[in-house]
Amino acid sequence: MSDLIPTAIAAVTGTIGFALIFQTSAKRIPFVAGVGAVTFGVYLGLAYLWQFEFISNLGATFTAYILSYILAKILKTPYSVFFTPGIISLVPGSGLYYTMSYLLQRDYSGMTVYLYATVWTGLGIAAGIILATTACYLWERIRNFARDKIK
Amino acid sequence: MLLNSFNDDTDVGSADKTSVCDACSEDLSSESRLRHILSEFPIERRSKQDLTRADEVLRISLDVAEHLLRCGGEIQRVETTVECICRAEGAVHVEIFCITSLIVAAVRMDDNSYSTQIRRIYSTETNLCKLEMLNAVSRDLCAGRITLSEAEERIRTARFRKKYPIWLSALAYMFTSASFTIFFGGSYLDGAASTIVGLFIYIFSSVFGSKINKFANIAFVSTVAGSVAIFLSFLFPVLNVDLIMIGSIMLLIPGLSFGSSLRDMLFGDTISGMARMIEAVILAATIALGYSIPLILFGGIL
Repeated sequence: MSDLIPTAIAAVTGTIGFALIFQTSAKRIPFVAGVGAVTFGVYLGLAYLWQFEFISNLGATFTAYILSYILAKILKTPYSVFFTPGIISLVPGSGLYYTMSYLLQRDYSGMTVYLYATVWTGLGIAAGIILATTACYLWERIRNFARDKIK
Repeated sequence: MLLNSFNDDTDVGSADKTSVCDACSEDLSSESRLRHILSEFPIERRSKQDLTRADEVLRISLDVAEHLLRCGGEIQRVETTVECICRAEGAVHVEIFCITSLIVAAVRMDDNSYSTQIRRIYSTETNLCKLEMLNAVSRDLCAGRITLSEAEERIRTARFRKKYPIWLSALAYMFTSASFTIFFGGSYLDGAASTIVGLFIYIFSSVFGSKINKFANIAFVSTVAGSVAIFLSFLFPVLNVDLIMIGSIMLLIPGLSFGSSLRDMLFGDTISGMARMIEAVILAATIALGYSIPLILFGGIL
């Protein structure tokens, strides 16, 4: 548990760093940091429950997208301002590196393990984006339909 | 038509090609050929009064769309923006086609004026503040809170908005690289070493980023970052070179391109989705190649 505290802090500081690299306006950075913290928290919780990269990344991405969508609606700004840097801690940088490293060492079994983990992570993030996009799209359709009916 | 009035006596593209103008029988070198055509047949510029309302509305909406796409906006947002602005200004018919490198749009207004314009997008970079400012312009135009001329002024303000100062950007690269080294299990010492790699990535990205091809730049920066990480691990053997490299890889990796490409395809933007996906795969391969060069040369692998 004590190991997780520096990791969680590093996830949030990494998110803030990316927000600066992506030129996010200063007044949005606290929200971006919040999205990053929640995303990593959900990832940790799901990883503890399932130990499967696909599920934990899917759940974390879905949460980040929905949270970004809600913030975007409240603050009247594009959701990607919060989502793009907020989800950065899920990006499989280590998977890509170890896949390349094992490939160079001609350790094909090690390479396969990391390649699968990287692909599952990528697919989990993609599935999370697709599910959340569909959910938001359906929500807007229902809301517009209800608004038209009331009128 | 204009070119037909010249008699080419050499192949097109040869270094010493000359042309003879039929109108004045003057020998022309290839360099002065275009200038001569323009002087003989001056292009009549359309004055602002000649522009139709459709031209103006589409120009402003494409200005917003172009810069949205340049600073990382999604295809769907770009298309929706053009359509909303044109409709808000009185368009009765709008057609828009957008991919990652091109926007084509046509509009017919309620006064029956018609316009078709295209924009070619050569480079993109993620700039979320500019994205937010342009989105606000679009929102205000659609709601009728600002006029087209006010929108033009705000687009100019967004385009020329200053980025964060150099020292803060450099610090962000260093800070992020160190954070991800610690995030992936590195010690604080590894994190401190990673800041130096992050600084090198910032310097080389800034210096060469706009001058050379994107993929060549990424390969070069990856090679430099890997070399610096290995050099630091030679100086301080206690450092974990793998974790320093991983921390710095995060600065270069095309994080969300894969997911975004699938989302684009889900919404019917298949061409854009495929383009983004292929670009993400090539970028990942380029980064792997860039980091593998110092590992092979100095890292004792192979």
